[in-house]
Amino acid sequence: MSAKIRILVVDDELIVRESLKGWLKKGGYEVDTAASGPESLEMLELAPYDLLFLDIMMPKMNGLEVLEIVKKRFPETLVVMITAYGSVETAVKAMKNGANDYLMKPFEPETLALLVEKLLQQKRIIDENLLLKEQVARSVRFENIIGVSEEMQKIFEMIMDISATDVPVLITGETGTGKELIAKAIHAKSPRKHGPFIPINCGAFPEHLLETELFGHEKGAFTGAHRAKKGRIEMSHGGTLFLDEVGEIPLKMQVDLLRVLETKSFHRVGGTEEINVDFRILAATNRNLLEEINKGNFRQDFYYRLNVISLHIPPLRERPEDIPVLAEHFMRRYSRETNKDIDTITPEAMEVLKRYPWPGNVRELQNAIERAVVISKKRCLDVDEFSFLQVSQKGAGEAKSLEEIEKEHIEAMLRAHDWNISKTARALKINRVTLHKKIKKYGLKRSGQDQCKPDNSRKS
Amino acid sequence: MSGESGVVGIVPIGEVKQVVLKILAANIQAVFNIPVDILNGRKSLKKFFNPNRNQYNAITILDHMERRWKQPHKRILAVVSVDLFIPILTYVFGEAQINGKMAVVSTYRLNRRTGGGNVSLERFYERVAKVGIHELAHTFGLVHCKENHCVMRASYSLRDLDYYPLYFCDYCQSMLDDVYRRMKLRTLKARSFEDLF
Repeated sequence: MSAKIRILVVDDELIVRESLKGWLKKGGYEVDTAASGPESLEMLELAPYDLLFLDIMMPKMNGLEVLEIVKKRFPETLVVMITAYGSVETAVKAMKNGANDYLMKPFEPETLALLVEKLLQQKRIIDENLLLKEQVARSVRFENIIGVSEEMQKIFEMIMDISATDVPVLITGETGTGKELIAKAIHAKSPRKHGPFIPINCGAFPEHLLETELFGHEKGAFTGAHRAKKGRIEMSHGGTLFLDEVGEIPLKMQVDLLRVLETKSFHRVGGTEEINVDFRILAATNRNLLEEINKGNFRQDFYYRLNVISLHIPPLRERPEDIPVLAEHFMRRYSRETNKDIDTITPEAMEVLKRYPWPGNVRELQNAIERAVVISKKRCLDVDEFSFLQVSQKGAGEAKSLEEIEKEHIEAMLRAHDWNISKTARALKINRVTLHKKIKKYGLKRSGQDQCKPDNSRKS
Repeated sequence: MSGESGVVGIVPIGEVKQVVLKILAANIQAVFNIPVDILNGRKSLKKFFNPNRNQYNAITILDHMERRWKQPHKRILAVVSVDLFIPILTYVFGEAQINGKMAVVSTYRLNRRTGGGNVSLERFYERVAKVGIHELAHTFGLVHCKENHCVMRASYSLRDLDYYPLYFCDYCQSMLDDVYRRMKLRTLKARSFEDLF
């Protein structure tokens, strides 16, 4: 560990620089020296140092001036001021200005050793703390949202910007683009993060059920209401309410919800008591709400209330550079979940994934990888594992003869069964002789794509 | 010793008792497993005296020896009985050039007992041997070791020095063996039981 610790000794006296360097090197540390303040700052620009021994009395730029710059530009470097007998006041001033400690020349061997040990221990804790903070921030900020594309980076930045406020956000994007994940990320980064995140899919309930789901009901409000029940709005008190598929909310309920958003209060179904709630609203839709307004299906005032900030997630086909990272993420996840040792996707298979238009977006990609991992018997995912994508891709919209489709289908099934004739014939529900005839007729040959070795290491 | 020179030369500077040199040489030969010679040294230390500190500068001694020494030995360990310092420290028990040729050990503080008086001669010789071995190992590139049971553990007080052993831990020993291999050093061969009688 100590071999990686870098120390810079800054002193205008050669003898001090060299003897301190020699002493520290015996401890196994990597030590450099600088003869002046400006030289030390140049060295700090080039490489990070864990610890700086800094002489106070130096010509050109004194130690206090150097300290000020170091604390501003390289705050991760710890600083020990070196002072001569009689300049303790300056040393105290340096401590007030952020120096971590000071030593008076000449030092007691034990004092120097203990000081170095103490500061490096401190440095290790600071570094670990920084690392953990970074990891936590990253995991909260982009938990399960993966994207290297410029579009996604902009979305991440926007999440950071809008999280701190309480304004409503309307998230738009095709189905399967991850609108709920974005909503969760906004909640997780907001001051309401310790409160609940309550999602409701407004398209999943018939009108009367949606009303009780949202507003709750009192005991006896309707037949079957044996006891009072809190609605999602009430449950989201102190947190965030996420209205998914907001375009599906019936017009009448849009009025009720608009009132709740304006007054932050409501009544349960069948109740008279006014309940005050404090929540943030996030909404999502895959519909074009402006068109719906024109058609009279969506209220304009409700739209403006929800759409204070709009966040559009582009479909996966518009950001193909995200496909490899997403695919690998899902591959790792599902190989872990299925207890398989699958660790790569071959370049050919990745090419197939990149070419596919993904009408179902990230959700479809996720399902495709899950399916491939489940059926794979090898240590990597190859083209064969994604044959179901190729078939649907090629078949889409092109005018093909029945023979062409038969040929492609037989070829895909052969690949899927690793050219095992019996299994393929069984899957195609034809006998082996017929399959052989078809293979001969269409001139099908096994290609050299089998790059993956069978996973013999897996125990059954 | 045969006509061939040893790997390490032990050199007294100023007044140092022969028995100290002999015990030190025997310990180094045993722990390092390489031949050691006791050489004639320099009489005066005046050149290295610093009147402001009333001590002798260890770094100047090492630099001087490096410039002047013409002996064929791969490493030189100087022994002094005066108090040594390096410019940044109030005192040192010894000093060495890391991956260099020269090292020095001072016996000046090594006979002191914590709380006053002197320690036994056995304890004193043991301390001299420990500091000598530790400093000499630095010249072979070994740095301070975190292991408590190792002579390369850094010791900044006599209490520490008494606590750590006179031998290398397995890790430092294998580092030293690597250095020997790189330097193509001849180590002492163990004699058979029959040879001893």
